[in-house]
Amino acid sequence: MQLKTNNIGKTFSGVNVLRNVDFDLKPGEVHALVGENGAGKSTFVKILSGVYTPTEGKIFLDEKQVNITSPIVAQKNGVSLIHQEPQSFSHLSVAENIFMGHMEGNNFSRVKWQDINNKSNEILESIGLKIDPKIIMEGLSIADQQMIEIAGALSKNSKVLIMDEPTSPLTPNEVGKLFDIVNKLKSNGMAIIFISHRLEEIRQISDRVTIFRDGDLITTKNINEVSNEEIIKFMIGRNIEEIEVKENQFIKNDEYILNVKNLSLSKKFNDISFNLKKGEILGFAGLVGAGRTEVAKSIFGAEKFDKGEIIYNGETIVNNSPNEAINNGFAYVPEDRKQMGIFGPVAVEDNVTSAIPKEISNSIGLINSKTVSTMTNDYINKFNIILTSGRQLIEELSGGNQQKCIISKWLLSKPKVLILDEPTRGVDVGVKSEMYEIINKLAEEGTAIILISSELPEILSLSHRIIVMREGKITKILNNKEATQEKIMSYAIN
Amino acid sequence: MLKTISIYLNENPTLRYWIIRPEWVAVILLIISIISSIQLSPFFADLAFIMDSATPYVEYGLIAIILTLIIISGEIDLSIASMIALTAVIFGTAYNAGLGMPISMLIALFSGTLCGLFNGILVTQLQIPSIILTIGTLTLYRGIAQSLASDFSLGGYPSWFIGIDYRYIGIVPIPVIIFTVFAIVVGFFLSSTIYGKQLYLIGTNPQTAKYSGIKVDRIKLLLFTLSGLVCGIAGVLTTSRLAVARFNMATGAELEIVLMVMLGGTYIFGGRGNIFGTFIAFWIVVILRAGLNVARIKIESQLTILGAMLIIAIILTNYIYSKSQK
Repeated sequence: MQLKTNNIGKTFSGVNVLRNVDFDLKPGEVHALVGENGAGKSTFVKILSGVYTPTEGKIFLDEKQVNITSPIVAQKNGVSLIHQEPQSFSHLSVAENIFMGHMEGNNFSRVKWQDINNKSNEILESIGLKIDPKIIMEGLSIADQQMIEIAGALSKNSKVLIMDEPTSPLTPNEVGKLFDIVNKLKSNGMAIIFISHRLEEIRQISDRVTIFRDGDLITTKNINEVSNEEIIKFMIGRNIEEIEVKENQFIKNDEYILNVKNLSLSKKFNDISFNLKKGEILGFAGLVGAGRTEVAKSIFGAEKFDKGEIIYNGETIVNNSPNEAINNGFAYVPEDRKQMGIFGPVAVEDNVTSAIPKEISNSIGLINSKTVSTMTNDYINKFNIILTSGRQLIEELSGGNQQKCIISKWLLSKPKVLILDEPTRGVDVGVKSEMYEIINKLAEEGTAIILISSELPEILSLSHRIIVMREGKITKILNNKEATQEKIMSYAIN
Repeated sequence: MLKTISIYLNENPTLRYWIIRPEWVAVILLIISIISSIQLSPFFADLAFIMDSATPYVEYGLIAIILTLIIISGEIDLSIASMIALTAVIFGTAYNAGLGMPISMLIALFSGTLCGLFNGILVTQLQIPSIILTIGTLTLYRGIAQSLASDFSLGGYPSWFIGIDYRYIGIVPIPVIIFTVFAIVVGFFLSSTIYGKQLYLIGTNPQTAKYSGIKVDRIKLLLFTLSGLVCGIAGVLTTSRLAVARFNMATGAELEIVLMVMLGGTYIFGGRGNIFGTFIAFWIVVILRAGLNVARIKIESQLTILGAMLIIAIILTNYIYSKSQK
């Protein structure tokens, strides 16, 4: 199906977030959308999939104008949205998830299970998946859940598939599988919109790329006619330097701040030993589910551990809670920003100062609101956080700016050991490079940093040493000099 | 016009913060109820009459203030009315057993504290949702009160103890003074101290709160315990007012107390609300109840009106919060 938009615009309470978008999508095409967070690409696909209605403009499907007023209308017209985090009913079966909302019943409205299971099987086979449609969703990996969501779209005879950052929760291996399926769908004439922050992937999978910036569609190019540097230039309107690989691979001092010995937690991780110097950035690479986050949480006191020892500044310590960990000089920037990182409907300044109650209050607990704003404003300026004021609710900021706020919050606690868990997930390119600068600077100032990341270039460019984990165990510790993407991957997978 | 205002408010978060607040609903409702009551009877223009009408509700008001804290932190305590009855019955039993007034009072407060602690431990340690758990202890505590007192009224207190609602400073009954001072102290605690701030954070996102080093479980445990203690105080006050303690005292009062908190604009899902709203809502309930009595509406029918108000309060609060968020 061919999709065309004419002059699409969207205004939220007087603020123009999308202007004059003329876009076209051909059948059998993968069309990438890129842009910094807040550039308008998410708003645009939400309009196409019926989540928002446009303030102005027209949408045409096969030259016929359509009014997409709700997601159901969008689906009836053959347009389906695949969410970044799969939206599944985890206690229902695969087949039920695929046919959710359009199950056919017999005369007494009883579900025709046989029918639905068979059809699910057909669809899953058609995209080369070997999953039993009768099993419960819960046990499946995020990647598989995503495939089920795609299968759901196919069961509705979708002709236009919109994929919103589908690769961000996936491991490289799973991304490969996803791309196989995307290519298969493409050859069957599906029109696909693909949103991603990862340019290599876009280059690999898409035919054309459309760049958004500040609510405007900047340009559409054939992917072969545009370089990565040009795309980035269109996205941010300025040049960005390539991240350079670390020069001084070895930390001169020999001051070990943290020594982790044989740390184990049953079914999560086993026999984890490593040490960390002052000013060192220690990368943790591995697939999603390798146990890196669990190790971090145990060190930070958010989870227990069964065996092992944590030696900090020469003394054995146990952090029984995050509170104790923070008092000992640890900080943890969690992977799941929404669930564990921010207080959504709360002012930025209260978020930023939430881990330092003693610094912002006097002996009887009275808050000094002046201190709160000064501290917050310091970091707003330092990190160039974009907002209207410190009293703005943090949930109204873009993901990148939220992440800067969380980093500010933890820097205010003056940590000696800073654990960063996927610090740049869902963050656009501009903020990413700012974040890298911040991390490097912190290390230079002597903070010991544990960096958990699934993006290999990120790990490679930032870390002094890299620990690779697989299925709860450390499989290799690499020096920056000897590490390559291929080497890391070979230790991360079987 | 409306559009311009909303744009203006979006650009000024501080102003928006002050204007779009559900407790203004409570203030407006209070004004409406005062005006309509004065139409009903000139008594309502007399401050002394309103003060006197307030005394029977002071016990509920005290608990409503603590319940506001609990709801802001994302939990609820529905066993409050049963704790009033149980502590009152324990107080009466202790006094009638010859333990003397001071000891009996201490035992009442202590048993209230214990009940609250029990709620708190189960909620925080076993991670049982407080709405379910406190429905359980609502029944349990009332049951214990009933087996202690059967259908007897435990009375026989010295005359200095009876009738706290008839003692005044100026025209203000002493219970109303207790309530007001308590509201100011707790209101100040909630709005200006770091502990108050942490209650909002816990209610907004308990996970983030835990990862920020806030002692979520300990604070919740403390709140439930405090709720028990205040119910103990309310139990003794009620006994003083009624001169007897019975197992079926304050039956259904949990709903009236929840109404005060909701009407005051505290968000049922936690993270938002304040004491000022609850304080205003207390007076709405007082005037409404007195007005309905003056209008000779039966107690049984009054419940319908209060129920309707509770629903309206919840709808309005939700609506206003959804507006203030975007």
